[in-house]
Amino acid sequence: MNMISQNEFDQIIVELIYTKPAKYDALCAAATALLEKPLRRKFTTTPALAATCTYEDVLSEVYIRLIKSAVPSFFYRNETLNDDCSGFCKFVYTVAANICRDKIRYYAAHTSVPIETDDEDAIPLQISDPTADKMFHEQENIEILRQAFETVLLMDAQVYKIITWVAQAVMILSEGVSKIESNDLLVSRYEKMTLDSMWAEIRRAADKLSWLKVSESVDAHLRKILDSPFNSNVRYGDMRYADFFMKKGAKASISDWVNRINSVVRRENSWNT
Amino acid sequence: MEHLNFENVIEFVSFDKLNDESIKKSAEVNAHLAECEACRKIVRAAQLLYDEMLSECRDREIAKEKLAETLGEQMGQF
Repeated sequence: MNMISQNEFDQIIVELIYTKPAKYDALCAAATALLEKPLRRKFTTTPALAATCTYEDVLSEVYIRLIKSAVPSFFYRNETLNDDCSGFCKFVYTVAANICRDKIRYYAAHTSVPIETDDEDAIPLQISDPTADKMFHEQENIEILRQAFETVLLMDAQVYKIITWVAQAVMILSEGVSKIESNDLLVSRYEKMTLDSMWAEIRRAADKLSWLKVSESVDAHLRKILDSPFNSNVRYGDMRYADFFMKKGAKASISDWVNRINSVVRRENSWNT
Repeated sequence: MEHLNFENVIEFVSFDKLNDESIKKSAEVNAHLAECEACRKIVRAAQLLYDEMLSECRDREIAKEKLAETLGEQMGQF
């Protein structure tokens, strides 16, 4: 495994932790230095990877993933600063490996190939049990996911925004509807409900997703907010549309988030057809 | 920045293009995350959830494809 020098690692910490706002030059330079040779080698030895993206695509995704996760998931995974240089190198390799794995899985799932082949990336090997990887993934993460969802439910945001986001996300995940369809469904299904009864309905729908369980304490927290004078007896249809969706401007909204998920589905559907 | 708000968090965990705007905004968020344990927890959780939702959508489509085209009757349970 390639390594970066202690000086290079220290520079990443200076730019990422102590510079306000943060800078990414040293971080991206380190990722490039660490990954260039192994990643190029991976592309030459893995046709499935080369068929779905370029070296530059993967490197760009690595940069983005590191920018998002280096501080919360490596340098401050715990309360004190993690200054383990070799651990950081492993972290970068893991990020890149996960991205490559996802690309290969995506390719495998969307490509038809002959059953008989000598290619070690042959699709049949990867789809012999298409649920195995997913099940392992879910079992490994189910408790973390439950906590993650609850954390989102406890965020400091207006309760109707949280409820709308949850309703739309649950609808898309459990009923297979598109973002556009879910907009109409949100109105027709919930328009005349109070926020309180809407939340009860969403909880029933969420039960269809095995990993998405809402604890009693979080439920009680949300119900307490819903019982406040401002929220009591307010109907979903009474909320102004503009309160939920910011159609223009740079800010990503709740709708934006769901829309991104849906765009992935649409993109894959168009690829399939 | 006192704490990240809901939009800050969503924007940070969901950006997927490197450009001047995303770099500027993520730099501000990272500067805050370096100092705030509470927001780090929220970002970790939101990132996990966001990634899982994307994966869930992909997997659902993938399963449908396998059902129709690849495994067919071999996978009796489908």
